[in-house]
Amino acid sequence: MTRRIQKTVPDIETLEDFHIAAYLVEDECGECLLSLAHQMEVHHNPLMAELFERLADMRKRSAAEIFAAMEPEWRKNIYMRDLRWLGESCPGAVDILSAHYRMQPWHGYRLALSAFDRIHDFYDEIAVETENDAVRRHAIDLRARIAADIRALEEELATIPEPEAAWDHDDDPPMIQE
Amino acid sequence: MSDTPQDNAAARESVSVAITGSGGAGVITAGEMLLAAAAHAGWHGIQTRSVGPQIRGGEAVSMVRLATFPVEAHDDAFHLLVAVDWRNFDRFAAEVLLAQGGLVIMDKAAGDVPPPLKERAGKILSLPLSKAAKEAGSRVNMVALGCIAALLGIPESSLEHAARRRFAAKGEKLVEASLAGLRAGRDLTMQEDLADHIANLRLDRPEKPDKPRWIVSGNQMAGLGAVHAGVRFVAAYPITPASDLLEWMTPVLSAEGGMLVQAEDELASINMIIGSSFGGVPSMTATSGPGLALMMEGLGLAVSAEIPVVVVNVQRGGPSTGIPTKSEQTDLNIALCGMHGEAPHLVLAPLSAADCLFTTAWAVELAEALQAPAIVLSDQKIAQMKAISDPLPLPAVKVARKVSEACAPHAYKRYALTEDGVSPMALPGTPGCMYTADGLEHGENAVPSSRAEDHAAMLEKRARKLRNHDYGPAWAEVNGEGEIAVICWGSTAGPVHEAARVLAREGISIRTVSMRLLSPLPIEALEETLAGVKTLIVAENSHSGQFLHYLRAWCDLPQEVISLKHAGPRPITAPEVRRAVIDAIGGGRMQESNIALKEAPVS
Amino acid sequence: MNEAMRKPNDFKSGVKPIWCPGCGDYGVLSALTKAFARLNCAPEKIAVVSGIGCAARIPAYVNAYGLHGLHGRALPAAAGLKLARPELTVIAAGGDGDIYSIGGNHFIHACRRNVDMTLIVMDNRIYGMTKGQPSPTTEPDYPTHLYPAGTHVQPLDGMSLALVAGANFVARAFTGDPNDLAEIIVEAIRHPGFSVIEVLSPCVTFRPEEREWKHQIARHALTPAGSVAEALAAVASAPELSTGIVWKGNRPPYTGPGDQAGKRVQDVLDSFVA
Ligand SMILES: Cc1ncc(C[n+]2csc(CCOP(=O)(O)OP(=O)(O)O)c2C)c(N)n1
Ligand code: SF4
Ligand SMILES: [Mg+2]
Repeated sequence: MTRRIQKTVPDIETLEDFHIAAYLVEDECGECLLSLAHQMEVHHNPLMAELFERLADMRKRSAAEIFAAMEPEWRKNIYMRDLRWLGESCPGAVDILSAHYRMQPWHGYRLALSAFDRIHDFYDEIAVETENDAVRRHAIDLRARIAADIRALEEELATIPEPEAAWDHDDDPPMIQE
Repeated sequence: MSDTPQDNAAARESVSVAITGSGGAGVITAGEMLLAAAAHAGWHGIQTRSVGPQIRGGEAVSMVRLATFPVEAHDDAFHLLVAVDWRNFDRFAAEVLLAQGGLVIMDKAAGDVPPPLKERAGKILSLPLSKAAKEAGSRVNMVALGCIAALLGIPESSLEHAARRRFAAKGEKLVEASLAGLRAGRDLTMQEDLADHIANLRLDRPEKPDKPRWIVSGNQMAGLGAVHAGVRFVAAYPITPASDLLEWMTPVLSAEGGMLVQAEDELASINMIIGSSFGGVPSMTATSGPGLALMMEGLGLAVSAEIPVVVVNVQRGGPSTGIPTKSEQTDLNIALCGMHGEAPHLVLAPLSAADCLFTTAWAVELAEALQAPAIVLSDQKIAQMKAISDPLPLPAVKVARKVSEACAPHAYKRYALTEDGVSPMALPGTPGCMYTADGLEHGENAVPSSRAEDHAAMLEKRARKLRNHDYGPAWAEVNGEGEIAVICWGSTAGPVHEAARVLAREGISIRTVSMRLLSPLPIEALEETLAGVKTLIVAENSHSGQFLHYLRAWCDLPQEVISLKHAGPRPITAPEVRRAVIDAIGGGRMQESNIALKEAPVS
Repeated sequence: MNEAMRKPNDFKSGVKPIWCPGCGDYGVLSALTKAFARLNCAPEKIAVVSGIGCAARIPAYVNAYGLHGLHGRALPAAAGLKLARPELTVIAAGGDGDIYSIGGNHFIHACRRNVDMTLIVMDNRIYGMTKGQPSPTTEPDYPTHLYPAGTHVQPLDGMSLALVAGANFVARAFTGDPNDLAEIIVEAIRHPGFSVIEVLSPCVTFRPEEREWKHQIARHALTPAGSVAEALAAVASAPELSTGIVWKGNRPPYTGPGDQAGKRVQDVLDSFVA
């Protein structure tokens, strides 16, 4: 896969830069997916809640491993940088606006995959362009990992039927609240 | 006293004087100086005013009552009426009733005496007040005041003291001019043969007080009570007759490290103080009927989110814009029942101008202790009245909000169902207790809930904390014994107390119950207090009898209930109360056993 | 806990939002928690004050002190809190109806008063909470159940109103870009005085077509202008869905009326002596 993200990668020169960026990207993706899991739980779509939770877990685990590999001093700096540093909307961000309370696994996989793909492209771009050997090594490792995750998801997606046309239909109107 | 007020006392323990004029004559100042001079000399008294709708130059009347004993209300007639002119005097005719045989002094150039006065006056004296003022290089109000002081026997030293206090800041020249005017007024009076009238108007010598007396207004005392009790944040929108309360508070608050913010409207006022009180700072607003109406939704939020706030509502004639400059006791219904849903809260009412100090401070104490909004129902009459008072002690209120210590994450329950219903409130800044105060119904942990059980539990908690609180004896001023009782609330206490005093001298003992705490209604204490009473007179300054209906809804009232009520701007007067008592006795109605609601005749 | 290690998650309350899946307000919540982490604020030193509406539900989802008050009244409540407790970081939040319609007067006066706090207006051009009635920012021809043929009323331009009324920091952001929004929130909080951020936040239930905003946003088409007049011109000429900070003023924040030459209670008693 050689899809490129639109924006050039942030200035990543040191391993610290890279670890922080990678952590933020993976964590963002995990958090978005977890938020989607909660959205589905509250709106009584348990199948999707479970799926999103599992997907979130993939990225959260990756983030945790990156975090564990960091020098302790680096961890203090994670949120000290301008978040726009990660480029025009973070590569890990999931398009939450596309979510729907009646969405089905087919939608969920595709939503996650589009974020996973952008993460892959992010690592790919760094691996290709960095001049720092340590950074390149780590980028290649993480690229391999997300590539494996993507492959796994794509395989699962292939077994899932496309939703019928009126998948989002709800006989009831929206409910008035406050 | 009889139904037609007579002016026949020889020497007086109480005398009432009205000064009227228009176009910048300065009669309000003259009245205030008369009061100040009397206070300096040791008398008691009050001064109120009534004015036309103009901002400047309108017709005005300054009404002063001086006495050898503490007074909180006007008599029902004036013994002396001084007119600089008669322009639009008819506007005040109902408020300024001349005693039969009373003395009228008017400027020679004032024109024709209004006919009703002609009939009642014992003597009408035209004096060249304006001319004398011109000759003395002074102003007509000072000449008029000089006349009055001479007739009443106010010592010149006290008059001079009052003039100096009033004008010193404006320069010695003005002081001298004023003194010249006062002298001219005295000289004019002394030239006349007024021996009979002087005998009638002259006040008994007062007992000299140990300490110099104060002159207070209800609005000042409410402000003082609030700041003394610890209010440090006020947000408000100007409205008559609450604005002077706000003006009094601004500098004092700034000196005490607090602040007063002028809000863009009353919706902002109430929500600003909800915000500041949520932050832990005792907070208050002041307003009048139209503003109170706008605040209702905010007050409901304060009930639900359990955020203490105090609203001093200075009542004026309603509904709508009503009669902004005059008094009425008709915001009782909205204060009690104006909020939607079931919203237990505190409603208190000061009994006099001086009592605004205690009642407002108490309201702050209760609101803070019970984490509930408190509405203080003052009214224009006492709020803008100037009253002579012995120096007032700052009330010993204990203002303490139950706050929460820091706690472990997710352990804090903002709306914990405690036994007394009051839950420790975490103030922003307290680690671990982060919660969202909510006007949506909620559970103990403050998370919104529409569950029936949560709603029932919270309604009960919010009612319980008010119901079970020990309010002590301050809920009412209860005096006297007898099978006839007069019950009233707020500023009607003044005339009721005075009527009781007069009746006692006539050998008639009554019980008076002047209520300061209106919500929660202390039903048990009230029923206990009324035990043995056969006739209850309910006195209130309301056309519809809001107070009576409230009492009837909640209390077992005595056999016979008489409603003494009428609308503002005429206040309930002591003679009206007295008459109602005499009628109740005379009518032999006390023997009747069925509950009868009768309207007491009103002059 | 390591002071330097506050994470966005530390600012989530754990209460799961009731917003529709896909709602733009999730992005605002995410951005807000990121901004707090970036600013490294202690959660107990933050207060989020709101009115009523979908957007206004946000305080309960943030791990901070919150006040979920009345429809339209977030701004005065927030101002009261900030004036009384100046050391707190105060955020006011609400929807386009909450802030621009029922709270419109407070919005104007909050701008001119310039209390040091940050307002986040989640603009979805509709009343979400009450089922899709038109709001002050709804397009005149947009059909709703209430007006199937549109309102024929001109939308309110909140950004320009904020500029004219005196807000000290004015920006627009898009919820679909939470990192950018987070940074704008950080700047708004750091900037003294009253900061207004209008966030384009789609209502996927009543205005599903707003999902397409993500393809229509003119990112950072707005940049800080040299004067209010230039800022107004920039807002007027920029594409409709422009984001960016358009104004950073330097008016001093309002902290109260200051010293009013008064006396303390004990000293003022003398003034009552006759
Ligand atoms: C005084 C009052 N009037 C009306 C309502 C009903 N109400 C609740 S939310 C709302 C509109 C919310 O729209 P908006 O502020 O745009 O927020 P959104 O739900 O779109 O986020 C209305 C009219 C109310 N709660 N209180
Ligand atoms: S109705 Fe609209 S604004 Fe409200 S939660 Fe749903 S999507 Fe969001
Ligand atoms: Mg909206």
